[in-house]
Amino acid sequence: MTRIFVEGRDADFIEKYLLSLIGNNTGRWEIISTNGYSNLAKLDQQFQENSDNGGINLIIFDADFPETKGGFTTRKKYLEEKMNELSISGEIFLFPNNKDDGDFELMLEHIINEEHRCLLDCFEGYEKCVGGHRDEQGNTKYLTPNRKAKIYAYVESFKKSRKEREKFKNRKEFFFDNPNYWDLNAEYLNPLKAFILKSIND
Amino acid sequence: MVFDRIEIENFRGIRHLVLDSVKQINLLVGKNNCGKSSILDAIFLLSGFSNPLLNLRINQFRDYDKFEEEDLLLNFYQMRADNPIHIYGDLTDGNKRELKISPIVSESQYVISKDNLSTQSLSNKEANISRGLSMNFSNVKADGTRKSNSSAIIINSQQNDEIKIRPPKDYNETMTGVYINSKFTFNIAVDNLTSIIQDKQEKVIVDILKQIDPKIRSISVLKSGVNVDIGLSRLVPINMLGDGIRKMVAIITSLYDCKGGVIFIDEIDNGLHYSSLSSLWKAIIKTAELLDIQVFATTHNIESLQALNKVLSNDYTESKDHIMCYSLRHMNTDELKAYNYPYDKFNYVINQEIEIR
Repeated sequence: MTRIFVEGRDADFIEKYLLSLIGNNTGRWEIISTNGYSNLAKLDQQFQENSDNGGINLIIFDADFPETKGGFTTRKKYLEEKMNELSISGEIFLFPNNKDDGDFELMLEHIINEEHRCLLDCFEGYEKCVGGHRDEQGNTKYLTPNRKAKIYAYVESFKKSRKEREKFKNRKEFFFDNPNYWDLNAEYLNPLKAFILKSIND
Repeated sequence: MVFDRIEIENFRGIRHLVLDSVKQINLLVGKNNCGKSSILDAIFLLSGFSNPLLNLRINQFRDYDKFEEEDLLLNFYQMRADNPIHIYGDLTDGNKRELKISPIVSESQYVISKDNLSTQSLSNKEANISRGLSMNFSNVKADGTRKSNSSAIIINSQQNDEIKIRPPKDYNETMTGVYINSKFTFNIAVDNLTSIIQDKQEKVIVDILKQIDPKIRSISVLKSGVNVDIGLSRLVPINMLGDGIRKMVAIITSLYDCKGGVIFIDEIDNGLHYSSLSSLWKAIIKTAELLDIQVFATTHNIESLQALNKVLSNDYTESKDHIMCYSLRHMNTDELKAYNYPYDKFNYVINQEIEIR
């Protein structure tokens, strides 16, 4: 069994991506939402249990950015040290592509359906406008960039059936298995693909 | 509090298991047939390790009343006689308890008496006529001093499988252990309830019951049994109220019977509506702390875990350090392992809906 520890908001994507790569999940993997990298210490028993049973642990978290005390190198070092301290084992992949700073949303920007890239361009124009507003001291008045809102706006902009609207509103469904929204075959996903297939095929 | 570490070897489906960091309230969770109840049974045996009758009792909890020769190995790992059962317990006072249960191949002194020796036909098998179980138990003091003793339960196949007990010499059990089996949870110990009322502790019980049914004003023991005042013109027999009330009274009265000891509760939430589970946990935590009782309980009900988490997070925050949840998992190697979830980890996995049952 491959046990995959994810941040949480990316869980549905990982599940759909695995299904597209491998097919049905016949007890081959299990996805655990952690609500953030800082909860690793509370998950040591989950790691240990899977290792004791001969399973493989995968960690798929955000690299984040140096401005928020993250970044690919810093976050990877933190996780490796923490895993060592907790005596747990697992392979690490950090969004967006396991080499750059960034996060899940940044990765999503790279796998949108190119036909709809205009939606992101429109949002960037809006953000440019928002960023232009300054307070009396000349500082930016509002928060930009807001990449979570950008992805949300991208998904929200699509015309949807009643069922899809309900899923989007109530379950925060982003339709990762719908090629009109996302390109799961994008080259940008190759590092993630190699990372997952290596463990699951092992 | 009594135990702070338990080790079990060769007991039923358990080849080897360690429960570390045992707390005042200990919850065992896991899938059906994973060994939760067997762990309770093993610790129950250790709590009364001089009493060979417990070997029968733990099987009776499972509706198995037979105790014949072919049943002797039922509680041994893989039912093999060469796998003696070992149960060890480290106590919070620094002492240790050790119990070894082995099959007795023959106990000829019970079989052949002087009176019937001459009438016995000569057989090379006669020494094997009687079989049973021996309980070798030791108290090991913190300084290493060991005091060992033994008892036995013997089946005499020559006398209609009559069961004989060989009690230990010069040993009086000081540890109290009470087992609440899911089958018998609705049996209220009337004597205990009477003592509680005589000790003017009735209010504690009524306050707990009020959380389930606010109409309850008082509880009393009459000739007809346990009765409750719910504000009507006459008292109402407790049997006429819901299962939840009866189960709660049964658990609390058992706790009062167990001061300073250990209580074992199998399927703690069995028969209770989810809305009563918080009251149950409050009652158990409050009474266990008041009477210094150690609790071992099993469940596989997520609502029960959520209720405990809520009680510890919102109401009894000072009791957080007094609980431990053990997630029991059968490994591919057939080994049973316990994964420890103290409050912070327990709270986290319940909130994140991570499966530990």
